[in-house]
Amino acid sequence: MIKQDINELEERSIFVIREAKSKFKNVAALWSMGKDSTTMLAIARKAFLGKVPFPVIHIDNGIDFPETYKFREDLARKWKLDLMVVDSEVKPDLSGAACCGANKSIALKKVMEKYGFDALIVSIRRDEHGIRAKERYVSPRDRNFKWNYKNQPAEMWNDYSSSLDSKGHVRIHPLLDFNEIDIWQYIKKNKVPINPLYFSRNGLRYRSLGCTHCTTAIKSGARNVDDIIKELETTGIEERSGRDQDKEKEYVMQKLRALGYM
Amino acid sequence: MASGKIKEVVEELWNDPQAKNWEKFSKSLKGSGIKYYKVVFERENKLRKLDDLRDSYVALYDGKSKQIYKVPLIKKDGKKLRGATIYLKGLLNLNK
Repeated sequence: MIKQDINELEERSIFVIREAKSKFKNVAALWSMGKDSTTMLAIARKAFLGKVPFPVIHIDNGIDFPETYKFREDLARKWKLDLMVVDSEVKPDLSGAACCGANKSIALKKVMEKYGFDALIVSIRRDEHGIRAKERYVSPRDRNFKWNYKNQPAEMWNDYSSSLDSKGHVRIHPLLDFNEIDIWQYIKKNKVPINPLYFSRNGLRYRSLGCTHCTTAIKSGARNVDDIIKELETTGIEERSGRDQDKEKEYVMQKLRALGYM
Repeated sequence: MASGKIKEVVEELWNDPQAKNWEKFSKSLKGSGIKYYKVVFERENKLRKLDDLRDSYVALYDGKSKQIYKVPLIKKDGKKLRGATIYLKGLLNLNK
């Protein structure tokens, strides 16, 4: 595992978030109440003197964990977030791909069009999934929301392109270079509030959180942030092993992402 | 709240899972002795058709992990189906 400097990662994220806010007219962020997007909001608060200066969107299919809803309400109140809850329908996906992926993308598309957001901050990390490793810090989407992963702007020497398709938008990925363990180190260092489902009860915990349908718990005795960091230093199990969409057929995640999934 | 009252609310929910009945359920949770929930999806955790959602349910347990009620997973919002887990706020997960 590559050890990275948390302060350097934070500086880069702050730079990317500030640049996004200054270069684009209408910025929003996605918040799933998971560890990554909550960390991103904590970094955004640092970047803007304690306030998140853009709307925070939760795409809600109605079957998230009750603990997640409680966490959303508590933190939105505490951090005075401009929270937008967008309902996505619960519909089965007959193709067998992740059911929420396609439906969440449709709901996201509607809200982006309705409010005219031209930049969307998404807290994905390269180490989560092979397909996400192909991403850029600033990643253009065309007017149909499609991601052309075969033709992406080069990002050399921390130089990011902010050019935009006339009716498309860009995805901003400020946490792209964080690893899972870096996120937990950051949470520990900055005392970031976190969803209680990450901590073990009865020998099980959630390592990656989605909705109740697509998420399963892993065996773990980690009852606090220190335990989780220790666990991650030695584990050989993939982070998203408890997420259904990652177990689907080859390239399903790539197809979902190409269509607009987070 | 008396257990008879919440039993009635749960029955109403199964008959008609509209928002007003979910609101009633949410209010009656306090003092009902219900502490844990477990979401149970039919068909080996795969969602293939709408009936799978209607057949899915949430099992509710008391502090000694004894199952005492089952409630639907869905809320009817006009003709649309919505998930209803937000009404279970305050309960603890037993899926893990």
